[in-house]
Amino acid sequence: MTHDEEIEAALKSRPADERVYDEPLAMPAFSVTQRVRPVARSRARSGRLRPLAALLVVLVVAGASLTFGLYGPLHLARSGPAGTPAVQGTDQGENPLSLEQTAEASVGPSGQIRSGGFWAIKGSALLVSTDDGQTWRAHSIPRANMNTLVGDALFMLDADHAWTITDAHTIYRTSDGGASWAAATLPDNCGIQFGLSFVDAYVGYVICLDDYARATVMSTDDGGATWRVITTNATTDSGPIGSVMEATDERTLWAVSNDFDNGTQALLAVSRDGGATWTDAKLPAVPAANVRAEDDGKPGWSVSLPTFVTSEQGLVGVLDRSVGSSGGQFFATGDGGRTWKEDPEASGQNRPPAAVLTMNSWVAYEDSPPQILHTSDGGAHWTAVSASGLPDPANFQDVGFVDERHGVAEVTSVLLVTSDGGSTWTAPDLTAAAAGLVPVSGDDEAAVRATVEAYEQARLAGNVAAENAVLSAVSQIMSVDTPDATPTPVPTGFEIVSVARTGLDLDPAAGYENVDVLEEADYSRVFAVTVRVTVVGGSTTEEKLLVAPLLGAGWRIWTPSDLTVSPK
Amino acid sequence: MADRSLPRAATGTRAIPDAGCERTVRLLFQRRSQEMFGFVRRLGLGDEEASDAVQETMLRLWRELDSGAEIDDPDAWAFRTLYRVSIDSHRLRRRMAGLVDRIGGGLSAADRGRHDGDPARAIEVDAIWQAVDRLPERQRAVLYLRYRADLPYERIGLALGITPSAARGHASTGLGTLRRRFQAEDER
Repeated sequence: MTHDEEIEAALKSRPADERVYDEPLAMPAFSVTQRVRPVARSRARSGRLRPLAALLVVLVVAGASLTFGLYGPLHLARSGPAGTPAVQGTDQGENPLSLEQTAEASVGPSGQIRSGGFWAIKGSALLVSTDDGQTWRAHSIPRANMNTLVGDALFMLDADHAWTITDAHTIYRTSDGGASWAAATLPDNCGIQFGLSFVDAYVGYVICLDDYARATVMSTDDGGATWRVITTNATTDSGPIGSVMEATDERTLWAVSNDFDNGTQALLAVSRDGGATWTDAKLPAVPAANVRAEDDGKPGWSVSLPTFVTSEQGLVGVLDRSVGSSGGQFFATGDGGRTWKEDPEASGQNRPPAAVLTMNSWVAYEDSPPQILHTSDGGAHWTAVSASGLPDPANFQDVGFVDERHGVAEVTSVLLVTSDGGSTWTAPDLTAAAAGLVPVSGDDEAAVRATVEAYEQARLAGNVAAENAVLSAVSQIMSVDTPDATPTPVPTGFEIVSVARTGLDLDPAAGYENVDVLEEADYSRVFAVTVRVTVVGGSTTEEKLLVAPLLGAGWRIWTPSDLTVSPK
Repeated sequence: MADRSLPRAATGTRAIPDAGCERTVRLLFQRRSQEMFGFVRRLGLGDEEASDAVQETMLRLWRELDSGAEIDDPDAWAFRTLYRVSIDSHRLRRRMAGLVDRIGGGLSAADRGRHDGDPARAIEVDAIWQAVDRLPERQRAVLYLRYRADLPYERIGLALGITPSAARGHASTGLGTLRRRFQAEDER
């Protein structure tokens, strides 16, 4: 048996850490089309309601979207959609970073800009539209250490100001729409569960949860250049706060916890002193009839962040996850959230809004059949608009509307826009956006090479601070390579036997010219690749360090003259 | 490995009659639940979360069929849904924790040295899968669907929303990494 055969044979066997799955199929005892919301299965085994059993939700910002999944819980993302990793959906065989090569404009996460407009991430490019999705411009964006971070971790205040957390210690900021980014170090470890929100270009907050669900609140008043810890254990009398948060003014923060795994319960908490102290917002009690049948001592509902359409008027949704529940409840405030009153028109209806335009004008969507729905009376009556131009199958991942006509949707990872209220959807032409990406010129070669080598040395030395400093520099000097760059083949007579790149092993045989590798490499947080090439030449083996710009249509060896070893 | 897939309908036709929704779901569950469970486990979910993901996927499938949706390839549909469920970023923390536990925790004494019934096999099954856990997510997903779920690359492409050639490339890349690692171990 060859090595390859042994590997393949082993891969066909069940690994020991994969137990025999012998659980029965848990099916609800009713027709699915009745639109009740079954809990995914009995919780008798664990006695806990896990968020995993539920399809999720996204939410809201002023003038932004409020999206509820079919089953809850209302685990809310910041200004963007959740559930889509940064590089997800870009693999259609094309280079995910070459914008003009994709007709469908597939994207990773997308969302609404706080001040109006939309953003989307495609590969390592941040796309921004401030004209209802008609035109887009693009710049590079610092990539997260883990590929799933950046979607939830991006907060876009306006077309110029945005912030993104890329790892436990680092937050990047831009004030020129992404043309340049600067890094800052967070004073406390942010782990990988966090929320961030800015009220203007200067004042912002980050909430991070540790493994024990303890929330650390940090703030900045200089646009994210420096941060300070406000508190390391933010909690209320009803329990610890969550990391899903929204700052509605310089002193007022809202945070939601729907994390049942950590022993907490659905909680909407508010701080009116800049995150130092928190209280339970105390929404009106959920009707007893909606307490779920399989009561395990915790509420059967999840709560959203509030959507404020003015500084005083806002809505918050509470979605009942009980077996047999017919919908959620909506609560309205007219005093900035100090008191809440149930909205009878909205409560009980089974159609949570995707976008709240005013207190009464909402937009919702359905997947089967795909359609957009409008209400002008706070959910009492809905008008359905059949949607055309969607991919098949159509899976709405996010929907945002800036008014009743203009909206953007991420549908099955395809970015689409509408200007007629959701009747027709088209993929925007991103060709012009690609023009905004600055190619790396030959003049940059020395800087790129030196920077990337410095990064590699810092990485090998385990010097995180140095790594971050280099990454910041990289983002300044590199953007996207020329789209027509052609992959450089391995020089004749040479064989690459190992390739290392920012902690990720790549297969040289399959990957050197392989667009798939480019996609994998997109997981990287740097904008260039160091390629260690062990060149086998004659009886000698020599290791060389090459530099290839990652972004763009292909790899390009910057210093092929380094390969001076005799052919094998 | 026997093909345990549900029969696929010709393009444009309904795979399942309306009356057969529940039967279809149950049949898929019966045939594929182990691979579905293992698939999301490989993607980093813990046991309970993986189990929930499987159940949730079955519910979604039923809902889709019951609503009259056409699903030409229920197997690929189910794995695609599972993949999306598993990559939900809200579960990232738990996914990462599960993966780190598996990578860092090592094997129990009982599991160590397991060769899946073939003591002569030079490469241990669990060592291979531990190495798979260190691969990028897409490669893990493709390798599991190719070898454990026995799906051809065309259907893996459907499941993951990528082209067949991309799926093949991910498999090739992943296998290459595994090969190098075990060659390196042999040379030590």
